[in-house]
Amino acid sequence: MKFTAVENTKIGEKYLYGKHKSGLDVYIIPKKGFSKYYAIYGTRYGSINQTFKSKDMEEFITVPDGVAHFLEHKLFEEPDGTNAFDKFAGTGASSNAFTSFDITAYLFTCTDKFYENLDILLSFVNSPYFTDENVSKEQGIIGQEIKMYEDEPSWRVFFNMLGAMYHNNPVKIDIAGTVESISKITPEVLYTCYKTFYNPSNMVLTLVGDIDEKRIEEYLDKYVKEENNLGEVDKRYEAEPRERVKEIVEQSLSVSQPLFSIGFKETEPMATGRELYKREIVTSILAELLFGSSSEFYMSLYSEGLIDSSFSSECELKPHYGFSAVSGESSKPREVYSRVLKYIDEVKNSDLIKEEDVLRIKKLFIGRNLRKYNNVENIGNDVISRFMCGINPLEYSDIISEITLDDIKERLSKHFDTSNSVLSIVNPA
Amino acid sequence: MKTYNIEKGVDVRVIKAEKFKTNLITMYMAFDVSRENITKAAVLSQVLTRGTEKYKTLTEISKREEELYGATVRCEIKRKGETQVFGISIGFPSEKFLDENINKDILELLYEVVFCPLTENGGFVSEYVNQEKENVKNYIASIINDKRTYAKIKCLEHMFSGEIYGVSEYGYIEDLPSINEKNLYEFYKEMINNSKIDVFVSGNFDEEEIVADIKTDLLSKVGARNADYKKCEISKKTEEKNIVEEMDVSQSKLCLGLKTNISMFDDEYYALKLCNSILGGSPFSKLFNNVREKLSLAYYVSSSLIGSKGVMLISSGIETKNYEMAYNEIFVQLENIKNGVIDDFEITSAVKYIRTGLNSVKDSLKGIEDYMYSGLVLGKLETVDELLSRLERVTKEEIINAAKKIELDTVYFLKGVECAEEV
Repeated sequence: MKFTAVENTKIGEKYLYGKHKSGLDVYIIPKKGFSKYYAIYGTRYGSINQTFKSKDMEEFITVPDGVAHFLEHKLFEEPDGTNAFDKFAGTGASSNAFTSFDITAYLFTCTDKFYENLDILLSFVNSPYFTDENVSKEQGIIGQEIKMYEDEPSWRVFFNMLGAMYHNNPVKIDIAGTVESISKITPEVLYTCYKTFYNPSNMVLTLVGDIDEKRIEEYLDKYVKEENNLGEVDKRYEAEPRERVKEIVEQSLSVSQPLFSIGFKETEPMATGRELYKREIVTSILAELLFGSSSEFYMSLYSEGLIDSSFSSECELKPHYGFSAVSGESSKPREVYSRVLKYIDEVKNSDLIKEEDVLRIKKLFIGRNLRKYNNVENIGNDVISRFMCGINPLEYSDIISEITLDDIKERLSKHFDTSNSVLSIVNPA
Repeated sequence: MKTYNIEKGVDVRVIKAEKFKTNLITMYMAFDVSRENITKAAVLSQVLTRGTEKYKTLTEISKREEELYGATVRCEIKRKGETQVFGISIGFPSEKFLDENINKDILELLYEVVFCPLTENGGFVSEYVNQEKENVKNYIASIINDKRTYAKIKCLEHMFSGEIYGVSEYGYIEDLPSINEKNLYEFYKEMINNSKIDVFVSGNFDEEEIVADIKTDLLSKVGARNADYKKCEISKKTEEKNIVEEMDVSQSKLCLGLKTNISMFDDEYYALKLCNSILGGSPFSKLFNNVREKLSLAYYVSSSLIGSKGVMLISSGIETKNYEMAYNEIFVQLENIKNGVIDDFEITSAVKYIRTGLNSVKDSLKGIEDYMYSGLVLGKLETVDELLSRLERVTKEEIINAAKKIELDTVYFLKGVECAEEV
């Protein structure tokens, strides 16, 4: 197994890339001097992948909401009745997993016995064990997880926003599903999804730390099998209209004051790779210019008591969905919303964004990118999701330097469409 | 960590760490926990980053931070035993990854925020103070939004009622009206002039140069003071408290407060740490494996220690109807430890789990700084290796004995109002 190195000397970081014969992509980010090692083993499979067809299936199938997340829980269970946590307990590693819209990933952090831990990780992810009994037990645990999120105002305000934005895109569905949808999950459903999405071609292994790349192949050979390689999965997404579903959505929960999320749906044709990366960075710079704490807009709303330091913006662009959100807490969320829309239209029709502001925000982003490389978990989590979209994360600083004021103005006119925006509010009960 | 004493009660502590891309400088001021100070400290932590003599507005400070590659000036209030800590920090990229030198400008910005807040008529700017009082009020009120944290806070509040440690870390809404630009400024002066000061410098620097710069560029106005951290004693059980609060939520929260009768200065503390890890402080714990995995009663159930006060907290999210089952199972597991139902594997796993956590501290500037500063304030500066070697020597008998000293003190139940029947 051959590894090739890609380097960014300016920030002093590099990665090694190799493809295992099973089809699995492996990335190693060498970090010397750190106590910790981090491994994250992920599949391009999340809550949005409900309708799909693999090479050995005749027809497309659709599975219940919440299967990807359910699978994540169940893979920790071992055929001998123990769970993977017990195995990691023997080495002292700390292990976990997460499911997002488009990724399910299994990970561990350790300070020694890295290769032993890698063995455990590859072993448990590659040995599914689902029975009627263990599925039914998990329905109880996940049921409690779902209930916990039902009470979580920041989670609710976010998902309600997506619901107002999207008609068909499954990104609007809660990652864990509902108590009702997970009751339909059976061992058969889990095995079908497992075989399809946990095939080596659909997965990526990322290792961070002082790692000897020559030792990796023997562990892969042991657990990641060529015969399980089903190639690329045919994932189907229903066409999504350009328009929002509805403008305003509200819910009541026991909170002290209203929470809000203002959303802008990405309606440009989706991109991948470097183009997608650049578009996301341009949008994030733009959102920072418009709504960041150094903007005049932020200052005026702050002084008027309409927002507080919880006011922030985020941007998530992926190959199959994308949005920006401006969120926070306010006693008058509707007023914040109308001020945001009015302000965006004003900026569009003026020269309020200056070259010097762009330069300053670029410096901010350069600093933030450097900070990310302080922490092995942050590095692993960021780069695995980038690699999965065909992005080289070490290109970040190059992309930053090529972004122009015109790029930003173009994004402003295309992305921040004030006639297609949504407002989600969680009100005090 | 190397210490440079600048004046009586004023020290600079340098932690060299070359592997990071960023550096961190924090000026800590320590004072005794008190109801009188805590709300003022909360407001002050917001006011200081509103404007300085040179950077008069939030916008100007933010712009300056951005120019310095996303340097972040933050005020934070932390509780270490019965010492309240006010920290002002600045995190910033290491010059070797940038096209320009920024260290001098970084110290200037920190100096501005700490020593040159914007004032008018001998007090802070009243507009800033009033706005931040409102923000603090909203923040305190918003604690209820996160039910898991809320339940823990309420449990601790009842557990420590009448004790100094029971003073809320976040301040009190009802104490806000009496705070104004004048008395807040007095509080600030008092803190700057009389509290114990520690300046931590962590990262990649020329040590002599940075200490000299800190002395001249940051601490030029700081004089000697008679100040120290406050020592604290553990909390003992008085009477058992049982509190039920009803709320319209999907999931109920059960939070148990226990008194361990073991302080972090006792030899038995190491056994208690392992006992906690085995009971509920790890993903292979008895609570996780039984309350969650076996009985399917909770998504989260865990235990944690407050070493300085000799307290253990057990927290979980459950169905209202499962209250008794969850409560009983938690005590079955604690009783198991008391009765010696402990596998050797659990003990060695607990040591390894804690070791990984402690070694991980070395991979974060904030982590190293906080570990060292906590040790100084609490009066037990033990290296990670010393701590680990003590843990490795703990026997099963010692864990059993530590567990036997644990007694229930407070039961707090955030009771979800029953929803309609599920289909």
